[in-house]
Amino acid sequence: MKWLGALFSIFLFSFLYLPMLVLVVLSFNEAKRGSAWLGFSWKWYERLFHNPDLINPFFTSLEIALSSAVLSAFLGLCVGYLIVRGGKFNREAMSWASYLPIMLPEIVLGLSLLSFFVWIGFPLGRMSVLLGHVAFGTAYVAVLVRARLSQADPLLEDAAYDLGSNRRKTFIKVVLPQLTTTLISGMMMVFTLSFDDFIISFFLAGVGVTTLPMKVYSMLKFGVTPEVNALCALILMGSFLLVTTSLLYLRSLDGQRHV
Amino acid sequence: MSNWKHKLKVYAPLIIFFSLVVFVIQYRVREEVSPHSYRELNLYAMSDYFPKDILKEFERQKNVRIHYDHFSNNEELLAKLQAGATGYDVIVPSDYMVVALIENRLLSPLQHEYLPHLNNIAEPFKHRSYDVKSTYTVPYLWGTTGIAYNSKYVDDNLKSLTLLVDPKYKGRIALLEDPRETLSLALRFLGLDINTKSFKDLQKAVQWLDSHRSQIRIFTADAKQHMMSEDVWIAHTYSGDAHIVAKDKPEVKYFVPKEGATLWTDNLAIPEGADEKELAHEFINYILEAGVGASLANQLGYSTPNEASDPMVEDPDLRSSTLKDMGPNVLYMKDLGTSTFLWDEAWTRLKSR
Amino acid sequence: MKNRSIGTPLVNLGAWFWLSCLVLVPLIFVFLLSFMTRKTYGGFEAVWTLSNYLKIFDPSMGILILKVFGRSFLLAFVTTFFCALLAYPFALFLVFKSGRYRHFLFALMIIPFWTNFLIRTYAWFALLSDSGWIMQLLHQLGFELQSLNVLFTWKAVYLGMVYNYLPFMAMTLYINIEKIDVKLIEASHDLGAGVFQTFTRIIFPLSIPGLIAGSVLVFIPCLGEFVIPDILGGSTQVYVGNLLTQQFLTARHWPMGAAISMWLLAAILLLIYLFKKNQKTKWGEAQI
Repeated sequence: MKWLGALFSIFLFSFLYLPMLVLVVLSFNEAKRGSAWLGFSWKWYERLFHNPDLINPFFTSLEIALSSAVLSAFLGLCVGYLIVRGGKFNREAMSWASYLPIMLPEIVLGLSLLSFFVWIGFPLGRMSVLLGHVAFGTAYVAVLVRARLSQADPLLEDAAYDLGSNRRKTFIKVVLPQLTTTLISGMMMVFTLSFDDFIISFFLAGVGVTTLPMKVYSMLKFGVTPEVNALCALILMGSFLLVTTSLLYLRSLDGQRHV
Repeated sequence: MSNWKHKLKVYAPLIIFFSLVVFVIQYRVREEVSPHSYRELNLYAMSDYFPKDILKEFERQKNVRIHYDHFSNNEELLAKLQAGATGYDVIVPSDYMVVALIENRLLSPLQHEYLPHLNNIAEPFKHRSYDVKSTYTVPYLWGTTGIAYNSKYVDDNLKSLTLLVDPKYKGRIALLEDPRETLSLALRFLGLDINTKSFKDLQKAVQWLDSHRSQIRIFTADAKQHMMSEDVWIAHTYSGDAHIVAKDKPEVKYFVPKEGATLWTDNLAIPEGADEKELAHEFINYILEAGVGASLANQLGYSTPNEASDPMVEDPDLRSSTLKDMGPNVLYMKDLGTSTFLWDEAWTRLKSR
Repeated sequence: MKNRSIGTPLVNLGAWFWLSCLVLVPLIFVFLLSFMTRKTYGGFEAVWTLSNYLKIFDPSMGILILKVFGRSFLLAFVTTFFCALLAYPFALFLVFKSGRYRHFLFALMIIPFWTNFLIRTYAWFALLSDSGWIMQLLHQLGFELQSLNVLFTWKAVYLGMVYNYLPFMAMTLYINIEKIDVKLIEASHDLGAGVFQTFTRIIFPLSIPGLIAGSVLVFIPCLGEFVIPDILGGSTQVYVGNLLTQQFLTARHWPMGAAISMWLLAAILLLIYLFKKNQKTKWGEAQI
């Protein structure tokens, strides 16, 4: 049984990783196009770094991801808190709402925001993309906050409040500290989701605003240059590193929780 | 584990986060402050329509940066502008789309004082039916949409649309992601008017395309990469695209089918919401230069409307003077006014089947 | 103790701003949009009409819309099925038989999930193209195939879908199966049940909530998917997502697009409702 399982897993992992490996290998291919191997070369990577059309989207994606991580953390905190500690109406409303962006397909979210922005005359640009990311990012953070907070002891807050602290202080000194790791994980998650996001960015981006995934999509549809392979390989390796590091980090944190 | 080490661990991501923020900010600040702080010109056109060197030359001359965005077809351009996208400075709509753009007040009138090279344009192009006095647009390039094929796999002889329905080439054909062009292809095969306003005609076209669905490999605005990888052997595509592929793959050839083809003229225009209207005029004037026009034709394989460029255009077929040589069934697409939505719906029906 | 919220007004403001402006109002607007009329060249105006919904009853158009939805449901169903088929044994292996490699293998499964899906989708081009590696391999092995004929057909789309959603399903299944109480299994063994019996009577029934959760989480996004059919299907296959994109972009028929969104939304909300209802019924009872 064990060997069967192991074999199956190997098969599964090959399926998952093969295309990515092929991509990475091809990015070093000397050949300008096609998959025939002509020799090893760094040249596509070199071209990549000197191509402003690719560097700009990278920074745009980075900016939007960082900003949406922060904003989503803040709003997600508010929503998550209300789900657990709010009055009946708040609880129900926020609980339902926090599931919507996660469950609904991105295209529905993207199109609804697009129509809405056009209708109210909100200009499409960087801000609109940011708001789109915050829309779903908040939901993810809210779910995390809700999970953590529902385990926390409400008596602590009540105690602080009873002892004469005002609402704001109680919130800042009692509630927030319990949520530090949650918010940090939430920010990491939203950052990744935002950086990788394509569909919402595609619909909400204004003129001159191109995120990295949008650029990759455009390259796929309108003519693949060999640099795409290098770019994709880089992003793949980058994600691989990032995710591995995060997982190791989260694991080590976990082990420390009961210290 | 000691307390501060633990705290450091917990806050590590935040530290990385802040360094990233600083990293991004310093990059942006350096951009703003640097002596090479460029003005940006936002160009919106079909892909591979402006050779890199032509753009770079303009960037160098005026010390600006050009941001080149792509659309798949004219309808997408219209959709974006209608949705309120402002910020594009120069757009490249086709002839029939210009009418729709003018009607929707999406174009900004051109100031001819800033376009001294306007005189370079050949006579037939000076009085285009959709913009008689060049009030809003200036012709950019013209050409035909015909059939490109890989002579290694495909029979040379028939210069006809029947090539598309030959079962030998099943699954090897690329059609355009363009309602007007693709439906016109079917209409032409059926002997119907390519500017029809009849829903029945369109239905026939849709049915014809649907019955030959298995022939089609892909719908794309840019068949070049697929012809290069040989996934596609026959493509309904633009004359210039075929020319570009032929440069790397000489076995790829192009013909205008005997049933007819689309004749089109693409134009340069400035949308209402443009930020850099003056720069846009400078760009358009630059494109109208004799040397630039010739280089465009030579590199892209499209025909130039620029008379002054003619002597420098290598391929005599691409000169402005060849317009009169176009056969009787090489026709322009016309604006269809209120019947436009019929085509849009037919397209939806075709794609949904 | 009363659940007394000590949240500041700012918290309320923040939460409600998000809820209203970024979630509810846009969705409500789409609802309203579906009743509006399209202007000649596109765009929309507030002339109320039911025509976008009645289109479903229009003999030719209605059939097409239903066809597209049917196609999407089929895609979603098949994708979910194969994801479950592949992920389930893997999750079982991971939870019960992988020993100390468990976390490592789990991480390995998760990593593709966090990498950009566009890139992972594009990666198949290099393999599936007629000049790609699979063809080259087949040629080397002596198969004289003219064309692989997978890329840009429905086969590539289905492949791409399963490929993209598999980690997600695996993750969900793993998390759920991990929660199964080991003691129940030990008890079953102690009582003399063989491996097969333990599986069919204890493990499988207990894993059903996980299967259902994973399936719902995969099924719904599959319904709205448009990128994979667009890229791997060469735009020849139209699913609901593509139809929507087309209505909003090329066809510029926003009210119609809004109506179709509403249909999609209705289908999804129905599924979510059924899912939540299912959660309430007791699936977790093992048959001892």
